[in-house]
Amino acid sequence: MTRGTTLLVFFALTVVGQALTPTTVLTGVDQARLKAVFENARPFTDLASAHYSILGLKLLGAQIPNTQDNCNYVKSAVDYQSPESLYYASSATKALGNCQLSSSSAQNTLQAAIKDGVDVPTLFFVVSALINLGLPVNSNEVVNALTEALKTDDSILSGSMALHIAAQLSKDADVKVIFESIEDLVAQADEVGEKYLQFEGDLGLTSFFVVGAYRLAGHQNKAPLIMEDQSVKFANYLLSRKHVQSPKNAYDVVAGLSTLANNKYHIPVCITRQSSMTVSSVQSKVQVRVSNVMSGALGKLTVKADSAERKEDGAVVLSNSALAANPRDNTLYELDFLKTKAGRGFYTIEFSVTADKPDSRLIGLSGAQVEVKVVTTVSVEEVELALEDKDQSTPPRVTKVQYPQKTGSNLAGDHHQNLVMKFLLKDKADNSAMEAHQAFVRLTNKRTKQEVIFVAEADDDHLYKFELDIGASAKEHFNSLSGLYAMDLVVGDALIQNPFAWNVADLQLKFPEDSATSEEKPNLYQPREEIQHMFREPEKRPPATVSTTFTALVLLPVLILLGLWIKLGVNIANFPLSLSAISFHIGLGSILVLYYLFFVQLNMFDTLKYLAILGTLTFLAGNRLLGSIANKRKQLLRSRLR
Amino acid sequence: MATSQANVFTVVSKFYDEYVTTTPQRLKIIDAYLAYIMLTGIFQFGYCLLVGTFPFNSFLSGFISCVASFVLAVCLRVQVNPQNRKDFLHISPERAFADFVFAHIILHLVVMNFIG
Repeated sequence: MTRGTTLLVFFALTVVGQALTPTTVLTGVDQARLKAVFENARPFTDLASAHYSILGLKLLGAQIPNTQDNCNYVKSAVDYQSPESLYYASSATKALGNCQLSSSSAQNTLQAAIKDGVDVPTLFFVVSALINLGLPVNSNEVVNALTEALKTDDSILSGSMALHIAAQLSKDADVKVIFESIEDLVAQADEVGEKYLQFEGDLGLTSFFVVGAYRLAGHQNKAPLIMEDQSVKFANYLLSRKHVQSPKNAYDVVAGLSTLANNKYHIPVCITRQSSMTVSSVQSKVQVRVSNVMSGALGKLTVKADSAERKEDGAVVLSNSALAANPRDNTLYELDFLKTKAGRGFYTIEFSVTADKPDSRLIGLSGAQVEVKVVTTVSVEEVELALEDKDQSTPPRVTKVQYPQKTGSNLAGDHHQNLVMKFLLKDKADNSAMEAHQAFVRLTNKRTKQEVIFVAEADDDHLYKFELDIGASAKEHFNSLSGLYAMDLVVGDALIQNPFAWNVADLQLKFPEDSATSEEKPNLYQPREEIQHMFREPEKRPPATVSTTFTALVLLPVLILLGLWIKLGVNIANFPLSLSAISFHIGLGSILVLYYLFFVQLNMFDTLKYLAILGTLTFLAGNRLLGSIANKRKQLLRSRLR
Repeated sequence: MATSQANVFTVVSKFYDEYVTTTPQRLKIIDAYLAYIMLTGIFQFGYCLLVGTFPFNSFLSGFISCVASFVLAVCLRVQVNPQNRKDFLHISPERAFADFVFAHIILHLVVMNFIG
């Protein structure tokens, strides 16, 4: 049931996904860079990077330098008790060639590791190491252990490891279930932007899966259930990560792409532009490279340009033109683009490829696009300069200029005139009027070197006109600086081969004098004057005499108070010499002393602490004292009433 | 005009005479204290007007100390006045004085803190 629906979806997507091809390719430059990453891993710091570096160099077809040193390192770094270490070491020694590990001690460890409850990674290391060392493997035992382990472990890594394990077993082992798991694993991949397919954003995992899937497919002689556009999207993802820096990542890129460049089922075809993007009369050929993802040749092919469409207006300028093969390099093909008589513009050329010897492995054979731009030379004609009076009283004097000459004499204009300039830009290829992206008139004050740039605008007939009201623009643009100005016409465009800046004339401009502003504007890019830091100045204090006078003045009322009290006859004689009275007054006095100490020295917490003690004592004494006074008063009252 | 001046003068002198005769001794003591406090406050404020508000916290604490002391003394005077006995039946003069002292202790603690 699920197979049926899968096939249906497969066919549906095959039709839709025809036009997908790889976006780029692993060029010679990229491969050299990755080779350098592998070579720079030496001196090796651990067995894993040694493994990746050696295998990576072998995949790139490069010479492995210092093989004896590498062999010695691997032999010294290997741990015979660990299957993982034996895996790295055995793959490295197998790649190096004449390097031998001690197979007997390895065999003991590895055989012992295949026991009940073994997990998938250990099984992967063990089986790979046994195969690398040429030791016997019991396929049925492995398959049983693997099936058992996969029941509890359904991660993508383990699924990919199962593919690698199954691909190394003998041909009669029953790995059908594992082969069919490829489809389930692909379904778990994440698609990004309809261009990339990857697992959890992990380069290593994606590469490991791709290598394992195609390896098992080759081993079983059956096409893996990966669709063509999925394969291309995997290739795009691996290519997008080609700028990695570490040996492991570099190996992942190279291993994944090598698999996609050389397997029995899917080989994505890449078309990349080799010539410069600019097509001109000097360089009229568009050259493309048609190769696999590793820039390798694909045999004899017929390459056709299906269409070339201009971006501006969608005009199609060619269809179904064959490209000529380059005799020296069998991956390069050329097309003479100017034969199409296409005008200037940006073009998207779409290619399709067919193999001379039919090869069902090739995918992405159509839909590849390449962008070029056709440039042209421009000429400027019908240039007219005129200075007309604003009130139109006299007819303007028109001066005609021819590129690249300059007007014979300086033009003079003042603030009640307009400067008008007209010109026409022509495409030399077909003598038609054209507009340029940049058409500026630049006025430079010859003395101060200040520039003012204006934009010239074209009307519907592509005739450019530039008008300057000298009086109105005086203040804003020219700073009212009268003088001699050089007038340049600057023309440029992405599609113009010969952009130019042409000194058309020199103008003597005269502005009204009264609105002249300061001449030198401060140059913003010179160091400013230094700011001296001013420390906070202490506040101004009044002179000491004033303070002293007022202090005395404030203390004066105390004397007045004492005088008044004495005059009133305050009753000190009746002071009861009891304990509570004395201690109350002493307590109050000590509190005041405490406050003085607080002002001078103590902090709030200490003060509160002492205040609590003194306050309690004072309170008790005061209570007793005032109570006795109250009693005495009551007794007096009672005796009076009696 | 002379009559109104004379009127003001007679009113003031009559007030003064009555004050001296009818006010009990205790209240006069407190009134003297009130006058002292007021003078101190006026001198402090005068200094601030003449010389400026620096340091402002010191001026504030000193001035507010005067104001608060004046207020507390007025409270004491009101509570101790025998003519107001009806309004303060449950507060004996000793109790009023104890409140006065307690409030002053707290006031001066805060003033000493703020005076900087």
